[in-house]
Parts: sequence; structure tokens; C-alpha cells
Amino acid sequence: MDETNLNKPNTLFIDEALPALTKLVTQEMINNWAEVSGDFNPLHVDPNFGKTTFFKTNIAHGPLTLSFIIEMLTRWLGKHWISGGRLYDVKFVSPIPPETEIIVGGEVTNIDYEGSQKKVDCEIWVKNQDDKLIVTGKTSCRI
Amino acid sequence: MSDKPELMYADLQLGKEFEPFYFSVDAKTIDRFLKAIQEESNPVYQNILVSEEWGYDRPLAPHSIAAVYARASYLKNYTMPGGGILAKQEFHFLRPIFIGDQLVCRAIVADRFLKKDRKYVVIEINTCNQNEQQVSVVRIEAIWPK
Repeated sequence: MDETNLNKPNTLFIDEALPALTKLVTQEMINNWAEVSGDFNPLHVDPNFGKTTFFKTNIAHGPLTLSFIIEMLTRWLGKHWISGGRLYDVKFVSPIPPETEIIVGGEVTNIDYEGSQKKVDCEIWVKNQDDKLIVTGKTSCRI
Repeated sequence: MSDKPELMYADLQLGKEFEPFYFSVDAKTIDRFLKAIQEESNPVYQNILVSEEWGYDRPLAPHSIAAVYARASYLKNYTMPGGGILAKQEFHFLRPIFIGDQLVCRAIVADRFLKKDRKYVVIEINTCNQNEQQVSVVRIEAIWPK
């Protein structure tokens, strides 16, 4: 169990970088997401259709990217995240074509002490391998 | 080809409640989901040892699967017209989801508006487990194609 925090991070500090999660988004991954979500929009699953669109390519589903953010936060905050975490103000800045490596990360922006608990606020981002922003968002969680 | 009608902007009146959508968190579904997000080797899920360490008595499911059941909850009786764009999405996780849970999702149109000639719809999905405990709230803001 070395991949995931089982206990709350006791040494949180403002500006702390969140442990990044890297994924390679492939067409196979997009197709698998279409299967489980039922979203077979050709913008996602048909490369030829994608070429005819504004994006000039097919692109990954937005919720697929959000699932990576959620998984990164689960790894970091463990049981605190899955029973009280909130992901909000999510904005899709750029699309993700197939065969894009993405990095999910963020940093702690605020810590409020509420009795025996801490409320931790973070900025979240997803970038591609060229450091281009893909998704931005915020999260809060009590630990 | 689905025989379900397309869900049109005109159908999405403020306050519209969709039929409850039931979602079984079974191991097979979770296997497929974890494969789709390449988290098959994540030690947290479907692992009773981790659950026990976290204070639970059943194996955990990935709660990122909320992204799947949230969408399905308003498309039970409809298909999504092509060309929609997901503008924003928000998740609030209130309780863990376990393998074997039977979830019921209730979707409602929380807002609809026009902006720059585009049709926006906000759908809020409240999901409870078989014990009527709320497990998540998801809000989806989408630009509706027609």
C-alpha cells in the first residue's frame, strides 16, 4: 500500500504541491470510456468525424478527465476525500486528443482549522506534456 | 439505433424531474470501469484489507464512477443529441460507495438559460444508496445542441 495515503496528510502546508498523477490518454481508453458511460458521440470515438470538427481531431470525454482528478485526490486524501470531498469550479480549457500524456496536479491554497478538523482547499489542474492547461478546478475536503 | 427519443432543450424545463435511475455497483461493472480509467491495479478498490484499514467492512468501489451514473440518470429514457458540450461539472462526495451497493439517482433540471445564443442546462443528480443514505451530489452544466 505504498501508492495511496491511508492516513490523513499530517504535514499539510499552503502551496504544497499535490502528488501528481500521469496518464496516457489513448483511443483505446476513449473507446473503453464510451463503453462504460454509453457516450458514443462521434466527436470522441470516430477519428474521421473528429477531423471535420472545429477541433480537427476527435477528443476525450470530459468526465474521463474528471475521473483522473478524482483518483488523484483519492490517492492523496484517502478516506477523507471519499466521504466529504468536493470538486467544483471545473473548467474545460482545452480538449484532449488521443495519444496525449496528461498530468493531474494542484496545490494547497488554504487550510482552516475547525476544532479537531482541518478544511483544506486546493487548486487543481490538468496539463498536457507541453505544459498546456487542459482543465482547471478547485477542491475542498475536511480531514 | 436506439428507439429512445432525443432529449431536447425544449424538454428540459426548470424543475423537471427524471424517473429514478437504478445503478448496481457490481464487481463486473467496476472491473470495466477501472479498466477504462486504467486503475485496475489501484489497491484501494475491491480490496477488503484496505477497506478494513479505512474502517469499513465491505470492499470499496471507485466513486469516480459517479461520472458514469450521473450521465445515465437523465438519459434513461432518452438519447443525447449530437453536438453537446460539457461546460462545467461539480462533484460532492458524501459517503463511500461499496461493491454490492444499489444506488438510486434522481436527476432534476436545476437551471436553464441562454448565453451568447447558446442553450445551457444545469442538471443536478442526487444519489442515495440502498439504505437511503446520500452518497453524492453531481451538477452538470452543458451546452445543449438543440
